[in-house]
Amino acid sequence: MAEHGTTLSHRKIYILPTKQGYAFVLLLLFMLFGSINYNNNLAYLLTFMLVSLSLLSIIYVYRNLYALEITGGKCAPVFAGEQARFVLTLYNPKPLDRFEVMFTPKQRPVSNIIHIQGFQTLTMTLPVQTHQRGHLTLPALKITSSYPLGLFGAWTWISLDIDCLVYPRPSTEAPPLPTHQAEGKGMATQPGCDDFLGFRKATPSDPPRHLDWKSFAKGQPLMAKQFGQQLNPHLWFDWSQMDDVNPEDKLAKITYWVLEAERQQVSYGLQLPQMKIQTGHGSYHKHQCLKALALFNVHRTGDSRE
Amino acid sequence: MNDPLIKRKTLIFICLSMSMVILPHLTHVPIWSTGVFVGLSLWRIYGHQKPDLLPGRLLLILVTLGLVGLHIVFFGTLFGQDVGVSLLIVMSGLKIMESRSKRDSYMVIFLGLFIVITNFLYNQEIILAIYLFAALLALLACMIELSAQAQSPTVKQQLKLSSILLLQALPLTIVLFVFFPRVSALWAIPGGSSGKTGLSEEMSPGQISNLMQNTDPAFRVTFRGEIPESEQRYWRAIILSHYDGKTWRPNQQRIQSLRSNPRRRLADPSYYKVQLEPHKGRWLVGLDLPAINPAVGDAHADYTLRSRNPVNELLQYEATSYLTYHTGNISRIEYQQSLQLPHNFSPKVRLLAKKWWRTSKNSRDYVDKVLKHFNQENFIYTLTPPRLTGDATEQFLFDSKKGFCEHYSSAFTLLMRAAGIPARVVTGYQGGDFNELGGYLIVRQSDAHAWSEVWLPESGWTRVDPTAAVAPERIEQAINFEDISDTGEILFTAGELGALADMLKQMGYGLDAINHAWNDWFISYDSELQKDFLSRFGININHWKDLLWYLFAGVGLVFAFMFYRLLNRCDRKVAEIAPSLRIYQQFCAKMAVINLSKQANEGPSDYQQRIIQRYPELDISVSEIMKLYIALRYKSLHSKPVLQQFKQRVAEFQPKKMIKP
Amino acid sequence: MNEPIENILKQVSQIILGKDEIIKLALTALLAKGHILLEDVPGVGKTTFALTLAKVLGLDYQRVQFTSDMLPADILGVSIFNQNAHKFEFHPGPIFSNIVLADEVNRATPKAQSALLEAMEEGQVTLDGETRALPDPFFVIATQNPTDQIGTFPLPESQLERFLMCLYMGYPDSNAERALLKGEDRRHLLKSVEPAVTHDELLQLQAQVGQIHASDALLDYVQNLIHFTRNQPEFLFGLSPRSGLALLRAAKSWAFIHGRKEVLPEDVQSVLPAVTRHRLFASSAGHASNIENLPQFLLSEVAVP
Repeated sequence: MAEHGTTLSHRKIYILPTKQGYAFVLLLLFMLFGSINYNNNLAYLLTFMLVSLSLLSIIYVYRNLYALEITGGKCAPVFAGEQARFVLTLYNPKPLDRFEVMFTPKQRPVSNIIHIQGFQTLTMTLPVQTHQRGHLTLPALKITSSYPLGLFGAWTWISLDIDCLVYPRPSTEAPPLPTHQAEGKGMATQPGCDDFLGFRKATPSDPPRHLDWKSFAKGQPLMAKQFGQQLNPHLWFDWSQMDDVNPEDKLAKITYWVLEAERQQVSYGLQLPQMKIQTGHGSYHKHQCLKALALFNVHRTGDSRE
Repeated sequence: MNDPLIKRKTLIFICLSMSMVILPHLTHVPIWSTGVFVGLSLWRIYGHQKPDLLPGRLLLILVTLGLVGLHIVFFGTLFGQDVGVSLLIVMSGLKIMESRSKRDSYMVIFLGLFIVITNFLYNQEIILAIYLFAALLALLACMIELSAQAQSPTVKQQLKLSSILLLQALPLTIVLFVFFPRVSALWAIPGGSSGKTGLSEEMSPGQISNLMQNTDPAFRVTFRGEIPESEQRYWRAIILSHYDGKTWRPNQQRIQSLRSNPRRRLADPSYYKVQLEPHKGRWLVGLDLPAINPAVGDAHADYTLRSRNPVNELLQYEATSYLTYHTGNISRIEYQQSLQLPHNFSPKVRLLAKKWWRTSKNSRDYVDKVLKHFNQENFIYTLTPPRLTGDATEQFLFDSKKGFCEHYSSAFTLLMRAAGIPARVVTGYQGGDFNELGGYLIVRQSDAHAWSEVWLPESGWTRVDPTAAVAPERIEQAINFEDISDTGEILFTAGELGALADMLKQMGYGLDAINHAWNDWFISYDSELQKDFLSRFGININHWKDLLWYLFAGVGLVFAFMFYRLLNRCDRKVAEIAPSLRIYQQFCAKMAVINLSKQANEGPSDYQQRIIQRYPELDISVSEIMKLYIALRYKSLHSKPVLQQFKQRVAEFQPKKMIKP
Repeated sequence: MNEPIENILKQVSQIILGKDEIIKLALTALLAKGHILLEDVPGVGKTTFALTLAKVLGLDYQRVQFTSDMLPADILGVSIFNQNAHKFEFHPGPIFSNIVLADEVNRATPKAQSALLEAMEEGQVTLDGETRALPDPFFVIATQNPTDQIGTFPLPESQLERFLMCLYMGYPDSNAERALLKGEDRRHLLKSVEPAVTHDELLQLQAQVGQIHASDALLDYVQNLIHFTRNQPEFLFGLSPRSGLALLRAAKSWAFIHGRKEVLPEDVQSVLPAVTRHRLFASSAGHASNIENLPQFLLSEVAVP
């Protein structure tokens, strides 16, 4: 059962010898055999010390995981193909440091090893490769530790309910923005201050701040700087107006447009089947649009878990 | 599972720890064996940055085979203690060379742990034990280093942690050590050449004087009663009755029969406990003359004690001796054996013996005559006698007149036999220092001695020490080898040592007392002592299987205790974190009783306002409590009196009684 | 409460009726050397508010109306060539005053906006390679009309962070409204307002805010708050470290205004909505769980340690 947070004392922590742990057990048997054979008390002492150490290391590896509190945080949206970075918060409610606690998402090669001090809260980021747009749920996590001797390993599985929104992969073909669908006046210039357009002869009505005093100081006639801006119309990205057959291609293209429009600071709106997002811009607007694209025809229940 | 490559730091750390473990073996294995280890380690460390320089798999296999071959050539076998240790050392070098990953490095460490244990087969002294447990710390630190992947702790932290681990492992270790059943030699594999050199089973000139340079302890004795005088302390070990012209040996037909106690006991016996250092043979020492003690070993008719197995481990036994004794009649076979002379016995010596015998009244008189001769005819006691050629006895008696106890006892015995008096050579130890710190007598290898025993009709076997006739000081005090002059003449020191020397001597005694206690309590812990020790706690062991129950129960209990402690030790600290907060929580709990509990996200002053709004009559006390709380917690006031005051106010605060219904 | 502060608050509240909380927060921001973003419809008295503050504090005041054709030089100033003296003369822009009311910042283009915001951040202006320090104290009250969207350039999130607080003026309550309607024109009343503090006193007050003590227990609380926003799915982004610093600084200033030498959790709680309102954004999960007011949600969920 997935949940948002968990405390490891409430779950089963399994402990078994590691590969070198089995070799160590073999070594101990040899040593015991030798000690009995030679009836050598120092050999006995050493053997028993090593036996005790390995028993002790069982407690240590258990303690590394015991009572650790893990809370699922969130995951910032990413584009398909990027790594989703799931944020988990760990809290160590005990005063002792925990070393070398390893987090491995199920069936992923990457793992994250942390060291968390007593009473410390630690934020950990787990990268998980994404392939498909939609929701990506954090895979089950295996938490392991074999510190300090590496002879025994403790592990437990947890599954946390954290989702990552995966935006569609933006088209790499860099399709031009659909300017022909602009509504309104089309391309025009409008007075503004963004772009320097050129010089013209100064008239008395020009504000002094717009005059080119530098060239005037050099003895040239007084000129006025002309500023203006290209007044971009609102763009509409309309699903029905696109000729691609594959809906994923369409989504990729629109994703690219959204990013491009955002870069150019142009207002844009989205027209998808059964969904319309009014024009606007800014990061929140961008997120709304990309989310609509990411979840287009994806049902929350039939999760695209890969 | 990805297994990352080992770091250079880890590699060096492992190599150093392994060297620590191998160091005590330097004297046990040929020098090239440790050389191979050091060479391979250095090569591997150097090759860490230049992997091209490291050997390939094929080369490594060839080198391995070559080294095994070298062992066969050098030792002639692959089985045995020395060759085994040598192989282990070489193999750990090869494993270091081969190790790329962590798992390989673990194997190196495991080999190291095994090498630690082989050290104990050679020597069980406390100094070595301490050293090797320090080496064990280093190996544990290596394991910690290997299991730490993300943040590698510093060497200091690792050593600290491994010490903590070792200490925490101690209770379990003790339980295992005490309760693990000791079954004496289930499958007796003959021990190798372990043990130190001790008294040899035969005597030829120079053998004992070699031993005399050695100040290692031979055995230690704790007397139950009074300690006999120095000249009484003849520790009998071996009887040599066969002389072949060069070497004295025990008789071929050693009389195996058990003998009776000395016939006439002329005084109360002396009871003592001997802690015998391992030597190669089976002899045991007993104060002249030991009584039968079946627990020790076999008592032979020549009044020696012999162990059933070679004394390869420290051996502890109790014995009884009669210092004044009468052995009674001599048996026929003993009589014959005690008159044996080599067939080419020097006629000159025989003639001398005849001459003296003719002028003697009886055997006793003859003995005195010979001793007088040694005393008055310029015989010199020296550790470095001239080399004797030809008939050693003849030369010694007539020409060189210089010799050591073995020369004197040999010559004396032969002179006796030539006159028809049954005589034999006894080797063992004489004297011993009393260690006041430990309350025991320590007898060293340098106390080794040889004397003679003659059978006289009036006293039975009688001890005669011809060396005492030449140099009586030898019997009364130890030889100070520092003072042996170049000529080899021995100066006996009378105890006018300087203060520093005295202090050093005391320190030596202290160290030896520790070793004695270590041997007494630890090294000699066996099935008998185990039974004895446990019975003191009311645990009676009838069969070694009984021990298993105690063992499992003990381990289980201690493990459970450690588990509980390690998991919960933490919680004790929590309480110390913020006492002010703890007291505040008590206050909030009291408020909760009157249905005005603090909201989780409520600060103190908001809470105060809410309380006062609801119960204005609480204003004064609540305001004061809050003021103290804010001072402690938000003004960071670290003041004990204020905390005390706060504690008191909260304790006195009784909202239930104070509010108006 | 500190006497000069009481005096300031009393004077301002005589002109600005029924807005005691806003006045206190504004003063908090000013003493914490932070700037304010006022989100409100026109006509609720933003200008009067700014003017009153300037007057009571004895500071000079400039108002800049932001328009789409505005150039950075319109805010910062310009070097004009004097033909007679044959040298450039710097004509400082409106930003060179203690209190700047930047009206409707979202109407100006990003270029003009960033000129203002950079000056706010750095406390100085660099023009034609010459760096000119802004007066001290320097306090910007920017307003933004939340209702109109067309033809505006909303400030990007990263720029919003430069405002310590975001306040809503809101309509006056009925009592205040009645008093307004009945009473004299506020602008006339302003003429009678006398400065409550001298320039030096004001700087001293700002310095004292820095000495307010924040205990470990309080810092724990602040950290818990920040962590909560970083880890809960309701928030699109977590609070930045800069936001954490802003929160603590505002809390200290608030504690100072209330005459305390140490910060209490209540101080943090009082300033938190104003400090985080423009820094927190709801994520999709937040919309799903219908959280209207993120700062309130934050305060209600995080316990005081």
